[in-house]
Amino acid sequence: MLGALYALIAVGLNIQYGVTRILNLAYGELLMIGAYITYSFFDSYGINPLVTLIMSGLVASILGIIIQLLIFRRIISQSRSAMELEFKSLLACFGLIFIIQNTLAQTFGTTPIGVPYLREGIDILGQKFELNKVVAAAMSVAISAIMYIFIRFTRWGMAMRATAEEPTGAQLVGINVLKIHAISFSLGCIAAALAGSMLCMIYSNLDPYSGTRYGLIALMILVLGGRGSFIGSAVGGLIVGYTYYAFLRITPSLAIPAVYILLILILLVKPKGLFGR
Amino acid sequence: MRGRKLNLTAQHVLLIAIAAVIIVFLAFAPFFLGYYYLSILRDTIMWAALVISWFFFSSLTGYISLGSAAFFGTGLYFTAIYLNFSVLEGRWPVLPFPVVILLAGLISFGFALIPGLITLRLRGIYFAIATFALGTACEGIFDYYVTRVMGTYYTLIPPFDSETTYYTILATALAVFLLIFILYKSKFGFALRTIGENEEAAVHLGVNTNMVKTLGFAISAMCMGFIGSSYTTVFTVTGPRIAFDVSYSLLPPIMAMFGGIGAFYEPIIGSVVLSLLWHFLGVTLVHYFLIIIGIIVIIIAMFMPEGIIGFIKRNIVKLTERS
Repeated sequence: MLGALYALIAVGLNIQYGVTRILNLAYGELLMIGAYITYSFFDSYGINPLVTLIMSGLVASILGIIIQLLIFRRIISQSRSAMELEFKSLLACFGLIFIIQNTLAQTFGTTPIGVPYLREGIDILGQKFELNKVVAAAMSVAISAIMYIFIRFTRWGMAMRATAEEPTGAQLVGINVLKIHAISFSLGCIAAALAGSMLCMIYSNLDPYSGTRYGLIALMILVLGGRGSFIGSAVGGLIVGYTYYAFLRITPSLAIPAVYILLILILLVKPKGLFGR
Repeated sequence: MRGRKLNLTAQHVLLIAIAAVIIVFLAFAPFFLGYYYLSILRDTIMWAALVISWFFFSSLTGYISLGSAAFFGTGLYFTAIYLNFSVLEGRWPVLPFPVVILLAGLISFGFALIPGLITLRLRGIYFAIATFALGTACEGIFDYYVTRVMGTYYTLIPPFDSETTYYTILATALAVFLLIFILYKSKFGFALRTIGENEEAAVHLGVNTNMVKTLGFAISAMCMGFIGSSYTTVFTVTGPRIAFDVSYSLLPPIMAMFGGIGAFYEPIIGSVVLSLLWHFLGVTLVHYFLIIIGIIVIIIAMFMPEGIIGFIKRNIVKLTERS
């Protein structure tokens, strides 16, 4: 069920990496920003968590644009080789991780948070599910679908795909690459924050540092599905989400190792990921 | 050295003298430093050695490894389990501690070969992610072993006094520095560097890149295992969460790039500066301090790609040229 949520998380990361070529290691921290926005609105004003999705989306989109324009624009334009870009963007992401984690920890403290919402169970095809998981899965599918339509059919989406394929060429045909980078980065941030908000509805054990784990899962899905492949991320998210939860029920500690071994096995067969080009 | 003339310049003599002074200072530090400062010094040495192990493989070849915690933690946890079984429970024979460290390093070495062979075929970012995940995966596996087989999440370790701890870590770190320095200057280090410059060209020059990469990765992992093993003496109790902490994966690249990755001494200076800052400022204003560190790291990524040492050097050169 939560595979869909993971698919959404991975899709956001894939948009960021596919278009800007910046691997956002701080992605998990963006999730936590979404989670904390939902938490703080719910906690202080009692606003319905589903309504706070709009707010976390808004905040994340602005934050994404700011991060892209302030930090990564300069890093992209100044890097002479792919390796240099990797080194620098990794370093910048580490910086972001520190800043976001500790800002959250300073403001909200480190006690685990969560928003109790729709905890009652319902029956679907004879199996019991918690309602919030069903809602989260449905929302994830819907948001992913909207993003897919956006990338596939709008002018901006087309420009994004062009930039991902050939940055110099895109610039030559008159695409404002800077703008496209900012849009894609912010789109990824929106996906992250929305997913984070929904995680906050489902779990009650999130703290400022738990973003790393979800970021890591998103990264693994990205590699597993293949870079720049929307479908790959969606399918990878479903596979990884399923594996992760199957193991989480039996032996929680082996959940990440299981995903890791799955990833390694797939990379042995297909070094560029399932749908990688 | 046979047939090759040893040409020592004034610079070399100066460097050797500085190194000698530092080593003498470190060797006698427990006689004039109190417990608190000694523990800071000990951690700084540990970080410097960990950073140099990372530097040896990752910055020479350009394959960014984010999996230091996997090997550091394996070394640490193996030693913890061994000490628990041998000294506390008497189930295993008690070996001299250097042998244990050596064993821990060899385990990390062997352990690194398997993921190394598979993941080193991946270029760039893919490799970084695969190694990053390795650290967390190892934590899970040890977690499983410890909770299922040993019964408790935390493992007890016999206590060591602060001087033993300090000298164990210092000796291990010095051995690691020496080993890596020799390899760095050797043909093997050169082969690693050619891979970093241009992997295809290295293949054409007759470098067996896969072998060199895997071996380099495993040697770097072995050094991390040594350091992890010696660092076990710091704890009296440890758990997988402590041994495989994410910061052991993230901080080595940060510290190295903070100092710069151009020359052997730059990452060492970077790690010493950051680690000292960490211990003196980070304790009192934890979150604010880490936020500031984050900002500094971003500034370095944006404006000083060569690290602070390189930045200072470049500006000194500029200033002297102007005057």
